Amino acid sequence: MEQLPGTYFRGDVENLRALFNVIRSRGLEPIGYVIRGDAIYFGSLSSFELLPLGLEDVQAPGSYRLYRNPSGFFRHSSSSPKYWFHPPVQRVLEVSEGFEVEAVQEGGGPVALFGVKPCDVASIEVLDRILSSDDSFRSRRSRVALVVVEECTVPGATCFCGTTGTGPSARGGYDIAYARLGGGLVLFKYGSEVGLKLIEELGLTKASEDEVAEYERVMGRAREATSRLPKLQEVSRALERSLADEAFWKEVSSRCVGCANCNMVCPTCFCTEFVDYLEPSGRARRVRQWFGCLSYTYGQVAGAHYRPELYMRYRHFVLHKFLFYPKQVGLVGCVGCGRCVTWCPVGLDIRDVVSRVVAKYGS
Amino acid sequence: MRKVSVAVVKLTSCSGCINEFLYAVASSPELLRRVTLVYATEFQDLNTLEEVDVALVEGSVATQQQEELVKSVRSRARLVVALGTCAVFGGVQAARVGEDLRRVILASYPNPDFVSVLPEVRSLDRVVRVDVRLQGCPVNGDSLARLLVKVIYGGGEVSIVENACSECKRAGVQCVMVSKGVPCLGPVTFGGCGALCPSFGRGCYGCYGLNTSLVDAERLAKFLEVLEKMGMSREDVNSLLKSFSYSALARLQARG
Repeated sequence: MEQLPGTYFRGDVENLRALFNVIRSRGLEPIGYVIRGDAIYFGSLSSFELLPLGLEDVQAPGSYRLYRNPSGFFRHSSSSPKYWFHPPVQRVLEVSEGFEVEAVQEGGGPVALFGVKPCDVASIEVLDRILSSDDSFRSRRSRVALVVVEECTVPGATCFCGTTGTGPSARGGYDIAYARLGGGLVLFKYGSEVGLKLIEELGLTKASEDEVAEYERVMGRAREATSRLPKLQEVSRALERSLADEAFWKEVSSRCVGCANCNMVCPTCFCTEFVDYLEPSGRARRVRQWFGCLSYTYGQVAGAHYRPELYMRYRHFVLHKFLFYPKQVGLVGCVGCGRCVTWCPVGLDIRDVVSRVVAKYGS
Repeated sequence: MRKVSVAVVKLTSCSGCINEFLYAVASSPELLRRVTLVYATEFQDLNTLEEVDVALVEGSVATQQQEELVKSVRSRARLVVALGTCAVFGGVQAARVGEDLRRVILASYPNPDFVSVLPEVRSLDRVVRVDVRLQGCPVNGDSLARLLVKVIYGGGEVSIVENACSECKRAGVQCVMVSKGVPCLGPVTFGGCGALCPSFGRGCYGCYGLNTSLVDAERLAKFLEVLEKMGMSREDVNSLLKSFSYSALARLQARG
């Protein structure tokens, strides 16, 4: 549904709470960023209080800190929607003592993405294409009945969603999007009939021209802050030309230790490895678990190894996001969330690598 | 009923991994029934070193007698498992290598003449061919039980080489290094522990050993600079690496 131009509604955090409660009363389970202990995870939101509204994350290459700050703005943590849609350890099948294979059935009711950032919503769309024939993913994906997006008014220091075109504003694919502005003002917009009905139900009034102007100013600034990298097409072209430059890739990956944190925190990295657990009785369980392409055995096959050296595996990670995904599924695999930059223990920055590739191999 | 015959061999070590073996077997009656102990000098009286399916070798080779023992074990075992970090990398006793041996011995024994050890401490693979490496200080009892069950059913270990970080992320443990500035050896250390220390908010001290299929000397040096900036002294990190990754460090140096 087309957004009518200038149709913004005004409200505050209490309206957000009301929206949350309406969603729950309809039997939808809200999922999003949840406070658990001293960290934020992606998962089921059993109460509005668990949303990280009064917290602020400060991110830099190799560094993440969470502070209590009532007027602060939370972006994201190392935990992405992947944890819910494509869980880290999944039971695939069970085999009985008599060698009968029992498929694992997954259940669960409808869910609503609540307060999820545009980059993370975009990452689910990438997974949609990659895992389109994956039963477990499809079953979870089909449970999403409503999407409420929180736009990023104040992007983090490692964010580059403007470059990847996945943020900081909500693109399509949402029912309601909201932006938290200064002074407790929350601006709502709708992206579907359902979203509009919900907004009407909340009794929100239209935003004033000044409020919309302020929203546009804030989002413009956010877009500018996250759009400082070269254009994606240029990146793809340059990467293709850089393929054989062994010295270049060795140099840019010289600090990498192959820990695969980038793979694990990347919301679109989807690779898994199968592990079999056998009980003494003969009963067996097959699970698949996330496995990163930076890890040594990733490219290993019987009698050979596709990418035995670490620089090859790092190169593969970068190429896959910007060059291979578009060829495979027609979308860039990177959504610009910057998690791989923040959560790299040595602070290796994919933005630098991409800029350097373009500087050397750009047109 | 399918069974597996096992020899439990102890070299220079603390018996912690052998304890893990006992826990693993004793906590599963089904597994207990399927394990035949052929040789285990620590907990049975009659021991004959004969043909076995699996030899679980704990500890590193620090004496001449141990070298002869493991060679003899190798010739009788279908599968030799290096059990724990001492067997795989050398272990804590490797910290004495390069020190004045007499002084080290005197620190513990009143009469040094009763102690006869070699100056070098060798991981098992420097003495005999090793089929399976299960590192950890102590070894993860669950991994050991899984291996034994697979052997009982005629299979073997499929090793996945990755670092401790993957385990933290899968378990949803927030990175202590990035989020708290706690120095952590996880990024360069073999996984297998199930993210034990970081799940309690402390840094990994590398007891599963340095993963040299991922880091070379140059990468390690750069990584240690990061740890140093987080407040871990070079002396501390060197002593951890020597204690838990001795043979891996030697391999890095040999590669240049």
